[in-house]
Amino acid sequence: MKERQGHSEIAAGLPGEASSAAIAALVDEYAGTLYRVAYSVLRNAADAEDAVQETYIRVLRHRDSLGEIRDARVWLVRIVWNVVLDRKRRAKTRPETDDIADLARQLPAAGLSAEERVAAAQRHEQVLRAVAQLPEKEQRVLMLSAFEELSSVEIAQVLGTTESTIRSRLFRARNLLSGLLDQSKILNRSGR
Amino acid sequence: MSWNSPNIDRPDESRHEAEETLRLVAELPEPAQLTERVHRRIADAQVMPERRGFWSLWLPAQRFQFAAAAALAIAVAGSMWSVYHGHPQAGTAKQSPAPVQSTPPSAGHFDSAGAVRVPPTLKPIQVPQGSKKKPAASHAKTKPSPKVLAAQP
Repeated sequence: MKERQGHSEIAAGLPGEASSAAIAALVDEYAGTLYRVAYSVLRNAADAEDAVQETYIRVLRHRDSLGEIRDARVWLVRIVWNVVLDRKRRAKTRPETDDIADLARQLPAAGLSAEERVAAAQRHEQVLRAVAQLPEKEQRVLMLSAFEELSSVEIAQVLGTTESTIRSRLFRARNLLSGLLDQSKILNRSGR
Repeated sequence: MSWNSPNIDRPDESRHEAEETLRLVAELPEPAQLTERVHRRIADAQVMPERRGFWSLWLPAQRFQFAAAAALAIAVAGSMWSVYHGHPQAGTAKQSPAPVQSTPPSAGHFDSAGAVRVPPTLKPIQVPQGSKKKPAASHAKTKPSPKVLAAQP
């Protein structure tokens, strides 16, 4: 929390060239978080990095209003979220199934044997496919909730809604997800 | 935010799996030197307006072009105005009053409504009479009439 207040102080009242230093500090501090948020949606390293760069370019364009930002972290996540959704909408032609399979293989599986890794990748793929089947709003809340850095209040700020809405969406998303996963498990067992 | 919030039912196996997968996705490491590349991109974006400033020599040219176009438009409009307003004055000086017909129009019939035919010329144009040439005999032979052709065996 101290850190967030510090950044609010950095961003507060910075006209002209001093804002460049503030932006540089924001890059050092939050580029990684923004990349992870972008990657969780886009599932492509190059696209996620582009989204992060575009986010900071947008910040640069609005550097004069940096002093009005209360919580720079949430503000940045909101910008990158919008950038990512724009890109996602534009690049709808790419099949998502390939992305899910790739992402499931990329997830870390340290300390597991080869067989366990394969099984873990299949499990991850199953979960990600189930997440992809969720309604869009529930899906977004669920993805953002996985980030330890974001509280439900902050997710509400990012998505431009209330905390109670986020909580109810999250509850619904988790119920739907567990239902889908149970269903797929039953189907797998009956298939064997 | 963890999955064990008060709103959630008893966590089961599926939920734990989903939680684990989403957490792993959220914790994927960023690529190496990401911040350096972002810094570079921002620096490039900041430099771009200065580069445009260097090439801003085109701006005066555009201003000159605009001024030239405006001057041209004004000249055209001025000349049109002078022609439009100057023509009737020149015409009125030489204009003769139109002849008025003394006879009143008869009711129920068409009449000329006072129009008087003015011949375009006072003197009729004398067209010199040219000598009429007879068609050459060779020309007449070249194309016989269909009747002649039909009469031939």
